[in-house]
Amino acid sequence: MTLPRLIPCLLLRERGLWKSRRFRDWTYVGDAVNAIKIFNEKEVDELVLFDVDASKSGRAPDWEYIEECASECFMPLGYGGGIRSRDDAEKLVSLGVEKVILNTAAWTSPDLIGDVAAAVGSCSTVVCLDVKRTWRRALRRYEHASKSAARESVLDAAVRVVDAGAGEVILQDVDRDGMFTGPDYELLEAVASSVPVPVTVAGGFSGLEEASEAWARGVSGVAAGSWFVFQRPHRAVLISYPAYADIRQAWERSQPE
Amino acid sequence: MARVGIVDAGLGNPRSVLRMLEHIEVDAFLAAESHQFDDGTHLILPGVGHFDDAVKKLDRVGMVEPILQLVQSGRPLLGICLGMQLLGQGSEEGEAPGLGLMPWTCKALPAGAGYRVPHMGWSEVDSDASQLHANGDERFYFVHSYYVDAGEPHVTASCDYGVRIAATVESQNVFGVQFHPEKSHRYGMALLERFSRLTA
Repeated sequence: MTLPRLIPCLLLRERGLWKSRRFRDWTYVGDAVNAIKIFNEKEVDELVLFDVDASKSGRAPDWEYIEECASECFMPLGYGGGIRSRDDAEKLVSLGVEKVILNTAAWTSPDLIGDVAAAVGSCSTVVCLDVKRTWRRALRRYEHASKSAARESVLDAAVRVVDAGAGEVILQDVDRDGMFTGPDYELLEAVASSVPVPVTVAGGFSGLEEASEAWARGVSGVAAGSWFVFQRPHRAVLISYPAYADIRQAWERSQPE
Repeated sequence: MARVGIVDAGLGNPRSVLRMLEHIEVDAFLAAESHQFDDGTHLILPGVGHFDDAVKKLDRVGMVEPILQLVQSGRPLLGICLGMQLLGQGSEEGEAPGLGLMPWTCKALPAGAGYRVPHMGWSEVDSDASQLHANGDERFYFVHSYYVDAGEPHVTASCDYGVRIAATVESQNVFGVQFHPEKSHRYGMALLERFSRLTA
C-alpha cells in the first residue's frame, strides 16, 4: 500500500536556495541547509535538490555542499545537477543521497541512464523531463542548458528514458514553474499512463486540492517549490508544509473507492 | 549512559545512523574494529547490499564472533535492513549462513500487481508488544528486495506489501528492523532513542 508523496523541490544556485518563475525571475530564499533543517522538523518524507547552474556552467557538482545537505536530511534525498557519469552517480550515493536525478547528460549521452542504473539500481535512477510550450502552444521537451526545444515529443521522451533504465521520471513544467496556476492535468495524466514507473510532477502546484487531482490521475509524486517556500500573495519567504493528516486526507480522496 | 557503537565494515552507510544518533544526543561512535565493541553499551549493525557480500565482509574483519559475544554479554544489538536479515539463518539471496541469532530465513519479495521490487518507499507499520515501537501511527522508509515473513517467530511489527513483511524482530537483547530509521525522520529518531534506552 503506497503512501502519498508530496515533495519539496529546492533549487540551488551557488549554495543558496533560490526560487523562480518559469525558471527566470530568480528570488533568493535563503540557506539550503537551513531550509532542509526546517523541512526535517516538518516531517517531510522526501526532498529533492537541484543545482540549476551545474550543467550550464559545465562544472562538477558541489560535492562538499551536497554532503552537508545530505547530512541534515533524515529522509530520502534526491539530487540533480551536473551528474554526467556513472562515477558521479556512485559518488552521490556514497554521500548519502538516495536518488540520482539525471537531466542534461541523460539527453546528450544515451548510455548514461543505463550505466547509472547498473551502478546504483534503476529505482535510484531518476530522469528529469522538462517541458515547455512553443509559441504555437505545442508541448516540447525543453533543454535548460541550451534554452532550446527538442524535436522529440514529450511522451516519446518519457518512454525512451524508461526503456533505457530510469526507475522514475520527474516531469517539470517550465511554463508553470513558480506560477501557482495549478498543473497541466492532461499532460501529467498522459505521461503517467505512458510509462510503468512512478512519475513525479513539478510546476504550478499551489495546494492540496491540486495534489489530490494529480494523484487521482495516476501521478505518484507531487513536487513543488514555491508552494512550500513562499506565502502568497506577495511571495514573502516562509517555509511551510501541510500537516501529514491533511496530506493523507487529500490522498485518500484521490484514490478510487 | 548509553554509548552506541555502529559497525563500520563497508556494509552500509553507518554515517547516516551516526548523524541521527548525534542529532538526538545519543553518544555514538563508528566501530571499524571489533575490539571497539567493548567501548559501547549497545551495537548497531547497518547493512545495504548483497547478503553473501556482507557476510564475507564481516568475516574478513573478524567481527562475527565479537558480535555473538556482545549478544552473549546481554548488550542490545540492532540490525538495520540487511543488518536485520543477517541475524537469521540465511537468505534466498545467497549461500552464506547468517549469524544464527534468529530461527528464520529471508525470502525474495514476490513482485505482483502494484508491488514492484524492491519495496522502496514509506510504509505504515503495525506493532504489537514491542520495546522499540510506540503504540499508534508509525511509518518508516523501506528499501529492500528480500524479506522475513511476518508469520515467523519474534516478529513484533509488520507492514503490508502484497505479502505481510516483518518490519521489526525482537528476541531478548537482539533486535532488527527491516526499514531505515536513519531515513525515517521523527519515527526513526524515536525508535533509535528507545533502543538507546534499553539496558543489558
